[in-house]
This record gives sequence, C-alpha cells and structure tokens, in this order.
Amino acid sequence: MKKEVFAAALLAVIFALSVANAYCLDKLTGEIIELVDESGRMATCGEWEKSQEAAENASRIWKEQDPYTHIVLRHSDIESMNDDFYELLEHVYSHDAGATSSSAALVSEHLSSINQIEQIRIGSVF
Amino acid sequence: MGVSFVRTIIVFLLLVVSLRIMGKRQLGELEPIELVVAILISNLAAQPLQDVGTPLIYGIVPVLTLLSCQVLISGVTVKYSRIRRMICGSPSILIDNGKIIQSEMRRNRISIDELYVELRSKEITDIATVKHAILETNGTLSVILYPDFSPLTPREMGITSEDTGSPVCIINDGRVMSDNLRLLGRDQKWLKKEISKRGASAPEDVYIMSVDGKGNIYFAVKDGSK
Repeated sequence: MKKEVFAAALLAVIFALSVANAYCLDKLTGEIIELVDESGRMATCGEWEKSQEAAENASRIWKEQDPYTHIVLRHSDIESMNDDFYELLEHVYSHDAGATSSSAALVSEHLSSINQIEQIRIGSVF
Repeated sequence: MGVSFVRTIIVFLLLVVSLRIMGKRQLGELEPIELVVAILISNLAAQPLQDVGTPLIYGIVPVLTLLSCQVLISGVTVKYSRIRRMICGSPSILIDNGKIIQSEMRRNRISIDELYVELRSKEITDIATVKHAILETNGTLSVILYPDFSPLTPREMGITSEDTGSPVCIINDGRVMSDNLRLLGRDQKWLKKEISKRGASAPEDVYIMSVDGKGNIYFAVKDGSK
C-alpha cells in the first residue's frame, strides 16, 4: 500500500509542478511580451531611447531566466528566441522603425507560441 | 512539462485499452500494463539521451508518470478483482474436461494449429491427454493433463488414482469469491464454519482457501492475523 500511496503522491507532485511551470512561463513570457511591444510602439513614435530601454530590459529578463528555460524548454527554441532578440536590438540600435516594429512583433509571436505549447490545453495536448 | 504529463497518461491508457482489445495472444507473458510500460519506457528514456537539445525533464516526467500509473493500477488490480478483470481480462478455458471450447478459441482468435504449437512446446503431442487448457491473462497457456498422463502418474507407480477435480478458490486474500462458492454449492454459513474450524475468525483473516471436487480444503491464514 505504501508503494501505491507514494505513486499517487508522485503523480500529484508532477501535476502540481506542471501547473506551476505553466503559470511561471505564462508570467515570464507575458512580462517580456509587454516590454517588446512597448519597444515596437516607441520605435514607431521615434522614441528611440525608450524603445532601446524596453528592448534591452526584455532581453535581460529573458537571459536571466536561462537556468530555468534550459530545464523546461527545448534548447532549439531558446536559441531561436535569442536570435530574435539580437535582431530586435540590432534594428533598435540602427533606428530603423519599420524593421524594429516587425522584429518586436516576431519576438512577441515567438514567445507567445512557446507559452502556448506549454499550457495544458486540448490544442497543445493533441 | 504539463503537456508531456497529460500526453503520457493519455497514451498509457490508450495502449492498455488497445492491448486489451488485441487479446491475450499478443501479450507474451506480460500483463497489458507491464507490456505498455516496457514498450514506452525505453523510447521515452532514449529520446533525451540521443538529442542533447531536448531537456532531460522531457524524459524524466513521462517515465515517472508511467511508473506511477503502473504502480497505482497494479495496486488497484490486486485490491479489486473486478477492476483487474476489466484491465487484464480473465483466463479463457480453451479445453474443458477434454473438450475443445471452439467459441473460446474463436473469441481469442486462436487456431487449432496454434493450440497444437503451444501444446507441443509443453511436450504434449496428443491433445486427448489434455484435460484443461487455460489461456491465462498474460497470454500463456496453462495445461492440466488427465491424471493418467501427468508426469510420474499414479498408474506408473501402480497406485489407484483418484480425480479430485480442479480446486476452486473461495477466499482470495481475505475476499470471498461468492461466484465460486455458489459454483461449489456451498453457502456463507458453511464457509464460516470451516473457517472457524481452522482457527480463523473471519474471511478477512484468510490468505487463501480453496476446495477441490472431493471437498478437500487448502487453507492458509494471513500473516499477522490471530
């Protein structure tokens, strides 16, 4: 009986960790998407300092979470995300409004997709 | 991580149901749950090992989920015979008292050739020597020969043999098998009397009790019961 109780407890722990992971990832990507969108908006308005600050903050937050993301996300997704961030920063530094706006949209979309895949929903399960 | 967890449970249940539908002959000495775990675990563990870009957690979560499911379901099937029958099925009698039960053969999709193969693998060449052949839930065939054809038969030893019939289990780990009790033409009153005669106070204290055709009783109390 002890074995069964342990197995049930383990299943409960895995489920709880999965839900917690989905929540953390949702929070993390949500925060970064907000900053990236702001960077794109500021670039369109010609506010390059604010755009740069928002993009750098977004990139910094993403990098800071490296130990966590490397445990729960496929490494190919992380590398692809890093490339998207470099591209966004490059366009921000070169003050190219159109390219910055589209790069920001790309980063947002990519983050949103990573988050969606990890959420326990019918679409992602099947 | 969460998706892996839910997917593992879905695939596990789907495979158990599939193997159950496929029938006993596909199993080969493993119960359906054991076979499912054996099939899945090696593949799940191999994926993160082969691809370093896949986090190890993508292997750990499904493997732990599978093991937990297996332990849980095995525990439940030990405790509840009805659930065990549902998941593992029940043994099929292919030969009963020397008569081939053709409906059971068809139900289990076993041809007469395959039955012969199984019998030959048990060094039985003459089907007429088989009294009972039972296809067990793990896909193996258990064969009971007529007493005269059993190894070291009483006939060979010059002793008159007596067919006591197959023993029927009436208490299994504290649970009374009411159907078997009825089959023997006995009732609860008789059971209580036999149990108390052997020093146990209730069926819950009995590990196993079986009765053969002549009324001989095999009895074992549970460890730790008074």
